[in-house]
Amino acid sequence: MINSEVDESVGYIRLSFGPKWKYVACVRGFVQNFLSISISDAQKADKISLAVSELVENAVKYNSREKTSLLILIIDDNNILIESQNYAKEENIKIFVEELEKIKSKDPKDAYIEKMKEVIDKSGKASQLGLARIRCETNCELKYEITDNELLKIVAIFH
Amino acid sequence: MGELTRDKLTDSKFIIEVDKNIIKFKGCIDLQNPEPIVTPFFEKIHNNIIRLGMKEIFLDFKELNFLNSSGIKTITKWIMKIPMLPPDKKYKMQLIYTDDITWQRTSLMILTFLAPDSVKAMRG
Repeated sequence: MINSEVDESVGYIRLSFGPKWKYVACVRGFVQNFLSISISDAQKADKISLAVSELVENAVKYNSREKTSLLILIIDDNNILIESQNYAKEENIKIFVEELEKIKSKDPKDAYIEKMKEVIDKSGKASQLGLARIRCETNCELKYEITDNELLKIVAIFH
Repeated sequence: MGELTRDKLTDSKFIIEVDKNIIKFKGCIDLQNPEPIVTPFFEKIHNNIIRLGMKEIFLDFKELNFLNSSGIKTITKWIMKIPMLPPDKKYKMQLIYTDDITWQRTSLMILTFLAPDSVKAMRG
């Protein structure tokens, strides 16, 4: 969690995994099962799982070293925090920061629709829609922290 | 006005089936980059719809368990072709969802805003 350690009296799970695409579905399924037994709102659990999947996809795509991790912290049904961590190249971190700040400056739906229209002429492995989708479809709060050694931490908070 | 002939796109985790005026999605679309596989298939369907003079098609997602943002991008590309068509070639697209799979309603509703005159979402 940004700038603090996990209080072990609350529900949490922490996963570390190699940045392999085939692990994304596996992590998504695991997280969905974990959330389904941890919070009472099944739809909320599904939405958080969607956000986790998009964050893990990004962490795998942009990872620059053999390490990615995910923390899920459940304080209660209305306070759930997801944190993905991956190392990334400086240029990708710069793009991420610009994109996230641009998305956060607009209404979530408008930002997502604008992004969808923007990316249709671009091809390649990255959809560039993940962050806008998470914010629009799950109503979470997105934050980030970058450490000196190019470790990118993205936090999604669900109320 | 004709109908689409039966066709199918199969991957290890998903199937997209075409029959008459319905395109059914089944499984899980979560490839890192589905574009090289999916986009040409969608383009073929789109071109056939125009050639046959069809005015309405149904995209049935009820059996699709997951669609990642890269998959959404391929559908976005298809949808954005419709407003570019001349008026006599335009067609309606109905996105069919189920409430049983949480992401479907939200994700598909958003897609309708890309071409509100042509694309609608409905519970199946």
